Amino acid sequence: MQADFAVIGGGVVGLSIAHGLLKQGKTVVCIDGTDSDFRASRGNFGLVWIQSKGIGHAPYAAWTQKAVRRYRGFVDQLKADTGIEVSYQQTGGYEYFVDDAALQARAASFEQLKQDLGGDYPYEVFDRDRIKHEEPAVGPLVCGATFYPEDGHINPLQLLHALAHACVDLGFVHLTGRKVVGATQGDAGFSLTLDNQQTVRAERVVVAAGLGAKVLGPMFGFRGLVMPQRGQVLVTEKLPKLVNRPSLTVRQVNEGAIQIGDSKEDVGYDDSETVPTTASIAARAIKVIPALKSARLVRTWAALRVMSPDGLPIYQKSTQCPGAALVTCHSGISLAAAHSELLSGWLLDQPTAPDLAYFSEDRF
Amino acid sequence: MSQHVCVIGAGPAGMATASTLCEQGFAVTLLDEQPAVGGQIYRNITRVSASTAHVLGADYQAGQTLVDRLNTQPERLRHLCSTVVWGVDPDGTVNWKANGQTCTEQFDALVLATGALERPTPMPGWTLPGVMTAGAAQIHLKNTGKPLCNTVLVGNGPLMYLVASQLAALGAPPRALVDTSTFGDEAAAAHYLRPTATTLGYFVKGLKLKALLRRHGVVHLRGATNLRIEQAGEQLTLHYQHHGKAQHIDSDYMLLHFGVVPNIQLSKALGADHHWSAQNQCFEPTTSETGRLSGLKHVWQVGDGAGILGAEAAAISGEIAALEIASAFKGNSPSISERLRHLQAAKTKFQPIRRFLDHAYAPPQSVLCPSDDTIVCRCEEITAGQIKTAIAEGAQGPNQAKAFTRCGMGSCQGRYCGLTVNQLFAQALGQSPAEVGYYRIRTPIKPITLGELASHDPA
Repeated sequence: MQADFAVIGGGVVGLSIAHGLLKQGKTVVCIDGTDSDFRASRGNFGLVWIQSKGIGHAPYAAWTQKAVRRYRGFVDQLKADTGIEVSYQQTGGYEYFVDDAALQARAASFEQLKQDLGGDYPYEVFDRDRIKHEEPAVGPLVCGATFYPEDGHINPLQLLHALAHACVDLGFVHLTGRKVVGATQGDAGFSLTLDNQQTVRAERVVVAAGLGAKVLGPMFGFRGLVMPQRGQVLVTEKLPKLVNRPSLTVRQVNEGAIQIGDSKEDVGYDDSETVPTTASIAARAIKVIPALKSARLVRTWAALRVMSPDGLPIYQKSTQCPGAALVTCHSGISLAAAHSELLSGWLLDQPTAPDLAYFSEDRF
Repeated sequence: MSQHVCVIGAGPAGMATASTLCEQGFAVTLLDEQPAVGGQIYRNITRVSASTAHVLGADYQAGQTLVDRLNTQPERLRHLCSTVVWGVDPDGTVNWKANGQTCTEQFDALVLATGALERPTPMPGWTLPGVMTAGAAQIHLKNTGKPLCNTVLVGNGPLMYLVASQLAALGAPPRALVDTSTFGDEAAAAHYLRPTATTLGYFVKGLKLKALLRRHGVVHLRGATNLRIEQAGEQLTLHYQHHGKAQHIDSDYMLLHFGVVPNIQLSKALGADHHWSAQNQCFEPTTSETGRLSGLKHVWQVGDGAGILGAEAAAISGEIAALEIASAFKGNSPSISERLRHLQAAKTKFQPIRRFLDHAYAPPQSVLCPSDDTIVCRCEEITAGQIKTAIAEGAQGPNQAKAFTRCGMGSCQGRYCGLTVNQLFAQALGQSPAEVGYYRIRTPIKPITLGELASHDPA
């Protein structure tokens, strides 16, 4: 098996990168794991989100803005190419507050970020009256919300589906149920050995394997500093329209189900759902939207976020193995358009490539 | 204080487990979804009229012995009926819901006695109104004492013959039994039988059922293929192929049945190990001889939920697990060892007849791996063709297919499509069902409200 690129990882990040490379006319082999691997792409909450990302790290906020501002065009093209509806809605989004001091502190950090970005950060602060007007379902404890007009949401599973479909149509080779167990580099490029002894040869390699970067990264000279952070999500039955816009913790999908999730737990490689945490999530959501109390819960799940030490993405080209790159982030959905449309330029060292030096592994 | 064991399910296995544990000095909480004990096989046994009990037969009435034994333990037994278990944890914690209240309690041991489900019966038209499983028709009969009228039974296996004979005995003989099995299937499976008293008993029962159907003039067609149900107005029509000819028959109800499989939702949610049973074409939890779930210290699985062997064997397996729990907590004794030996021997007797039934009445390939236009996931209306498309798009297994298509995401939590999706993958990828694997089952096993869940908030 031979290709221009071997992309290791078939989640949203790996497929977005593969999609961009295929669109540039490159041949791609995607090496993907099993159905029961930790797959952050299947556990995602589905926000396409700018606000609260990059506080104290303006380049991350700017990169996220760049990605989200390409989103509409990106998903429209995906729909045209595959016929799959990913239900992207850029409605603007909130973070609700029940503590006024916390709201004011958040507003101050957004104001600082706005200055760092040269004024391009169109957030607003809604007081209680305004948020009650916009979202009549909020309860009496909500004292206000931050609002960011470019935030929105998507069906993340259909995004994964559409990317997979598009990559198949563009002729990529998808090796599923496989693990890379060894790698060597010679004059002709990389030679990867898979767990079934199959060999894949590629000029270049992209490691986009989520938590797998920890083991795979060092094979290509990366430090692979990623660790799991568990998040749990609840989904209710389909309900009549209850909220107009998504928030960081509650969103109503276009079919009517309400999705809720705001937990962060450092519990290692354990992606089980737990009653105490899901119960706390439910209690906090009811505090914000009291009508949720009688909603029927039909599903919960837990998944592991892929976190770097500072929570920002890592984009790193290997100095030890030229031609190998590492891409990892916990915002694969929000960044999907940039990963598809901009990263191929960076991977191919094209002059128009974005400057991603801020996200190097050297910062740790 | 005595140890406290939770038994989930009050069918034969659960009742026998609970009784034995009480007799061994344990406090027992018996949780069950129905308003009274009995499970599916002895459903409504404590309330049914004498005449209905007569029609349901001696095998049904045998359940009363288990009920009587349970009733001798009022001090040690807490039986919570109309109770839905929505979460379990390997540490012995059980979450349930009854009368709009949810409760959490941690027990010293758990025994899952969750029984069997009818195998999903996908075929074109199986989701039409008026099409149901034979088991559902029998539940109707047990609950109301009244038969469904103007029915056709479609499928194979002993339960189909039993339901047909019960409908006939109540004056509503089905219009026909359209049977996918053949005499040849039965003859080929006969070598699994050994001439024992148990086998002979089953054999005589089978002959009696078929004789009763003949007496009522019920048409019994063997070897039907190409099953398809259509609806015109209120009328359902079954189309099928018989002896090379296209045939059809009308009725108000189509009752489908292709055998039963273990209900593995709880054992899956607990993360227990499971294996594929080639004999019964289903997943079974992997257990020790006494029913302890592999990989879990405090949880046992008894009855048909551990592998289909029938009601009598289920009660025996419950007793075995209870004695093993007694040994584990109170120390072994020669009398317990002796009883366990007898019970294991008694349980083994049911294996030859089960092997015969599984081979003689194996589900047809068209039901295991339905045609592309057949709905597989009833909740989300996903067809076999859509699953195959997801596989072509690179779905690695059932969980990725769930992400791509929403199959298995509805309120049944994949109970009615899990096996079919597994088979579609196995066939398309040339893998074994065990390699393909199964849906990840998550809490809540049964729907609860957010408010009910929030009442468990530790803060």
